[in-house]
Amino acid sequence: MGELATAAGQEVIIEIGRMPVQVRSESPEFLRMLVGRYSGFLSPGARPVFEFDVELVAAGRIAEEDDVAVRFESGRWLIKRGDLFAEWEPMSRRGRIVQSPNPYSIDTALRIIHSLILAREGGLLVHAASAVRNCKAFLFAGISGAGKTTIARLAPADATLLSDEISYLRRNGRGYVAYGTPFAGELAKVGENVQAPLAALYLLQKWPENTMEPVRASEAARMLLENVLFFAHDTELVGLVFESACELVRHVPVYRLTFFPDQRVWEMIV
Amino acid sequence: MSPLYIARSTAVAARSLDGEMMIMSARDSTLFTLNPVGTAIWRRQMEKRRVQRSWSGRSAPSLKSTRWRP
Repeated sequence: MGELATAAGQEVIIEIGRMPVQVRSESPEFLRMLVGRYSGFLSPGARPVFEFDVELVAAGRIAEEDDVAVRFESGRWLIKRGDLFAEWEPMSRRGRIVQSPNPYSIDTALRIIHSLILAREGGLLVHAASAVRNCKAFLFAGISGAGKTTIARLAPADATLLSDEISYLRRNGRGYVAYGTPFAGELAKVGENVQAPLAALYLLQKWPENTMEPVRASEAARMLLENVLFFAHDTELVGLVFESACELVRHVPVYRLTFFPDQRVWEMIV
Repeated sequence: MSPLYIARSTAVAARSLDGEMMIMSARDSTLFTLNPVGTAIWRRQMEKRRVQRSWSGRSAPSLKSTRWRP
């Protein structure tokens, strides 16, 4: 159980990619939901890098924006979407999230918070499935329908799923480390909270046969950028994310993987 | 003839990969890719330079852009 009683209410610390984020709420039901949803990613003793108070309100429109809007204003980050308002100060490392008691708004807030943290340290959140096999991590990126869920579902028993939807990459020297995330996609299966050095990035395409071919760095960077999750309208951070994508394709092999949807495709992933 | 100058914007990030120059406009997240001619021109723009009249009559460098929509 990852709950800790405090004077101001209760809290959980959700640690993804070795980045502990504290979420505090006065609602025991909401915290129980978080404990269940992020059960493999709770770190009660960790020192949080950011702390958030969640203010629960009745379901309804909270912000005017239909699409998520993320911007830096007067020394604080703002996230606005119809169902969500969040703000936090990088200096104090504290913030608040206003939402109704549903799991999707907090999930969105966590994804955006992590994308901003990663941008400054050369990491990326990628719209990709990922798995560990033979102590190496493999990423499978592609637009919706390209086969992320399919390849995750076809993973053999000796592969550990990191995510079927959102993959978490951090820089480690010249290489990258992939971490498991609780951000699930169609498979509705939370990733394992493990990590491994990134061995390859595969750009997915469903096809009648299994083929794998290297991709030129420039094309790989283009394709990778199309799958990077980043929402902030911030000139400096957009530049940093671009640099990170270019660095990644310089140091990690990138392949175009076409596959017929059966388990034989995993014979090529070793 | 009025003098024309081309110079790098300060609101872009650029990287050369496989000899192709990739340029990201940090302002609106548009990604540009320059072909070898465009890349050569870009590399010469370390400083503001005057466009030479000798460019007239040569084929223009191509530039592809894609909107980055993460």
